Amino acid sequence: MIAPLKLRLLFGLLSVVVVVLAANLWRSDFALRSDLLALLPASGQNEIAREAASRLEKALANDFVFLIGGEEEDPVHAIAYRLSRNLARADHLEPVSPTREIAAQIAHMEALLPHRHHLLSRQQATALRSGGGSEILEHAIAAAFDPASLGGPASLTEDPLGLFNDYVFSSSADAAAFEELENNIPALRSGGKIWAIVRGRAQPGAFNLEAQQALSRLEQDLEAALADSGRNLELLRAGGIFHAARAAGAAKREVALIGFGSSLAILALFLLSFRSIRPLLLSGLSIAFGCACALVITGSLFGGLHLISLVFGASLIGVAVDYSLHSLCRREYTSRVVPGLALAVTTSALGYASLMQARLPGLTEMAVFCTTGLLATGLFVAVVLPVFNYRPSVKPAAVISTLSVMPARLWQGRRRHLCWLLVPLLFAGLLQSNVESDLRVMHTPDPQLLAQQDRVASLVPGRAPNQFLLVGGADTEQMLRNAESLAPDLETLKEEGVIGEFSLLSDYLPSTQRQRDNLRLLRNTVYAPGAEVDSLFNTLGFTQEARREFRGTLNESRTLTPKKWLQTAPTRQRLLWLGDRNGRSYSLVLLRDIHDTHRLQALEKQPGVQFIDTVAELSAALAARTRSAALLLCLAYVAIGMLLLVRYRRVAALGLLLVPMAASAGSLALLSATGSAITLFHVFALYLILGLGMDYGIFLRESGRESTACLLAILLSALTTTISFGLLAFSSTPMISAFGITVALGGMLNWLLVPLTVRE
Amino acid sequence: MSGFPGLAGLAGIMACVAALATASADTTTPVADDAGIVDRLGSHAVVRGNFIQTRELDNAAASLRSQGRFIFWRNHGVYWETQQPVQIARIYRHDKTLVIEDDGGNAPPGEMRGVRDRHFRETLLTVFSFDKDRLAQRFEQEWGAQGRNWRLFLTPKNRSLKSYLSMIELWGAGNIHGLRIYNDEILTLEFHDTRASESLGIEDCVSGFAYSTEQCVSLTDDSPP
Repeated sequence: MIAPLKLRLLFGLLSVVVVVLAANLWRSDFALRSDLLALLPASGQNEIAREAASRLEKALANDFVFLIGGEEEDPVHAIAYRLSRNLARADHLEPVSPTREIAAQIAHMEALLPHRHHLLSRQQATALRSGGGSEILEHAIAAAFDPASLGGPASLTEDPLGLFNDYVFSSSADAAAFEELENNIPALRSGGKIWAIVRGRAQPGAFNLEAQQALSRLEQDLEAALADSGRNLELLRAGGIFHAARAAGAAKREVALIGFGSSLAILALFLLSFRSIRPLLLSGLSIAFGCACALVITGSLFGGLHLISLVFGASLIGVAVDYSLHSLCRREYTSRVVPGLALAVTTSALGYASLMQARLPGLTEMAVFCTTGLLATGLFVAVVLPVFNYRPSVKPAAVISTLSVMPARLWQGRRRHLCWLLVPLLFAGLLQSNVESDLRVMHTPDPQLLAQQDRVASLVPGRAPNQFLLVGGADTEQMLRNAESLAPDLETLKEEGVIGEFSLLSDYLPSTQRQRDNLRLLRNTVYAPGAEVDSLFNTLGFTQEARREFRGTLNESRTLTPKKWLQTAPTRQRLLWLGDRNGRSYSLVLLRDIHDTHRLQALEKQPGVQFIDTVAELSAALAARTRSAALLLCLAYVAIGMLLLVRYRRVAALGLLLVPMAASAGSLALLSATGSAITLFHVFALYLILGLGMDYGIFLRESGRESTACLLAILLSALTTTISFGLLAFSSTPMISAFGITVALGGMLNWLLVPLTVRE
Repeated sequence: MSGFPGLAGLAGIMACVAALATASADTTTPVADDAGIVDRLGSHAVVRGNFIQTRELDNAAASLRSQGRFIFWRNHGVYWETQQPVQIARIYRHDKTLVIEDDGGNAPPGEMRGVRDRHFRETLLTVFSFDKDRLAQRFEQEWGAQGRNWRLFLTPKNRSLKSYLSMIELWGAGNIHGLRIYNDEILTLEFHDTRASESLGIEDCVSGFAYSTEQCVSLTDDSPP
């Protein structure tokens, strides 16, 4: 038996294209990706908000930190030093040098010195305005005799009241929290323990698999060193890369498990059904061809492959095997190609291709992977399998034969009664359904990592990369003034415990107006002739020359310009600066310990202020995508219905749609009855149920004299689908699990309902 | 204008200071280490005494002098009280600095934060504890000794501490007699009437280290609460 020439040419062309692309791919830098966020929709943020979010993600989300704690300093230091050396040597990871940050801060403090009389903290300005000069004098005199106030960028002559030194040290409070052990390893003491801190950054990012592998090697070495130390040392870790690495590791294990499980199940089914290894080899060949085509084409189109695509790809084995099953179960060839194969492949591919409508890079990739895989397998089954001219010579095992006709027997003579019984149950289940689009339900983080992260946050607080305020203005000066007018509200929120801390650009770079106000305030209060500064000079016995020198610096003080500030601003401060975009100037306000996002949203009434909540916006975008996916599913039914009308030219053919429709409704009802919330990924699974249900209906309808063989093929197909997708249900990634369980349920329901497509 | 510590000028000053220090101690013999001194000073559980502090300023007619008392309690910290000409009381614990308000001890002590405070705390605790490992981890050491008199120069190893001080000079005979911190300025602490003991009374524990009476009763030297 030979397939038509057109199909053979198409197969040849596809093979050549795939070989060429594979050769090209072999030479290029093929990358496996694991970023779960790539599977999520872009939020509805505007361009500047997106840029800010991406900048924060790059600056904060790629960082990670290890804390090694113990009661004695020596063993803690030894382990931390070993870790920092390994980190410095590791590929794709770089140490975040605390000494570099300290050096940058010191250089910045020195650069601010000529502008010191223009710089005051909010607290200092408030104290000066409310007549707190005498308190400042008292504090300055005490500081002059306090050994702990030694050191600082300005000398006592340059900054007699210590206002500038207090200003710069309060703005570098984070660095002040840590002491430094030998080899410049920062540490802190808490709860009777000393904690050494080792920070690093993943390059190019936390989702890079090589960076994750490098980190995993570091962790292994670290854990071994901790065990060898024989001391009671504790290890804490925090950072997005640990979650990404755990998710990627789980995905890899799942690929292996699902692939192995599917293969094993298929092997057992083939042996039970055909009692021969030959059909298995032929099926394996068709699947291998489909997977290879999918891998090469997707890899070439997207410059790499997402791990999640591979997980879904592993389940492709379960679907792709359907076509070879229908070919191999036939005892007689009445046509060259399996009847209905083209229509079945088209409807299944249409089901998978509909995932593309999500317009999410990750899902588009999955859709391309599965669609190309199915089309290639279908082509292989149509062109190559007939060449082998295989016909089953023995009957399948009794259990398989019995099962294959079981759905038909179940419905025989009871169609109406069963329908009356099942339809109300279906509606009852559906009525309980609850649609969920909160991003947090899409990912279940490792609880141990979360607990460690909380402890790290209590010791080394970080900033929230997903929730922040954006402050804009017509120009830099206006933007800084808007930030300054926001400060009192943020202080109130801090006092009320709505937020823990905040970082505001205007605290480090005040507006020109504010700087001039500061100088005027100083001249009119503590620096006025005969005021507190002169009292201090008298008390401490400063020479006239020293007094003249100080007055001279007061007259020479210059405003700090954004350009000058940017030249030396430490990374943590410069992160707040976004600069000019589309004729407006922007900055960020970073927040810590957020407890009420509604109160932060209320700040938007301030001029130029916008609250960005990336998680909430992604959740909202996800909800919108779920609605549109459900709507497009209805349109997919309409499109397939029209295809059926064109093919069969009879309205009754539309009955084929009832099988996937009822299977979908049944799956959702069962999931809802068990308390599962319906997400976007459950809806995506309904597309596949549509494709599979159409396959079964079309093959059965087209089977004619070979309906028994067809029922056997459908049973084997349903079992392989249920096993392969059912295994996905055990995935640790909730979206994959949701997809898997829905398709597995839908597959079984399709099989049970398919006899309804033919007359009794 | 004086720059922040670490400037090139500072290196020059330091070189002079080091040269002067060496010259003034020309009768002492440089030694690599003096384990005997470290062991002896590192064994005291409690050291108390008085201090005179001198801060030398470039543009002041005279140095700033102050005086007060201190109690060092191993594993717990240092109580540091400046009594003249201003009243300042601090508790330098290993993990924080507590400020005792001048209100008769009614208010609970506040916590002090800041890089300068932390550096001073670390320096003071390292020097007073004379913990060999702690000293070796933080400082390069250069010893000089003549009979019972000894002199120790400590140069910070890490950059953060270097930004605060360029060198510490310690001297003594038996106990520590003085401590000098070199920076843009020079701060000298001279100790007198120092006495070492093996335990601390409950009264000093409560008033000097801000622990409750119950905590002080149950405290042992090796178990900080």
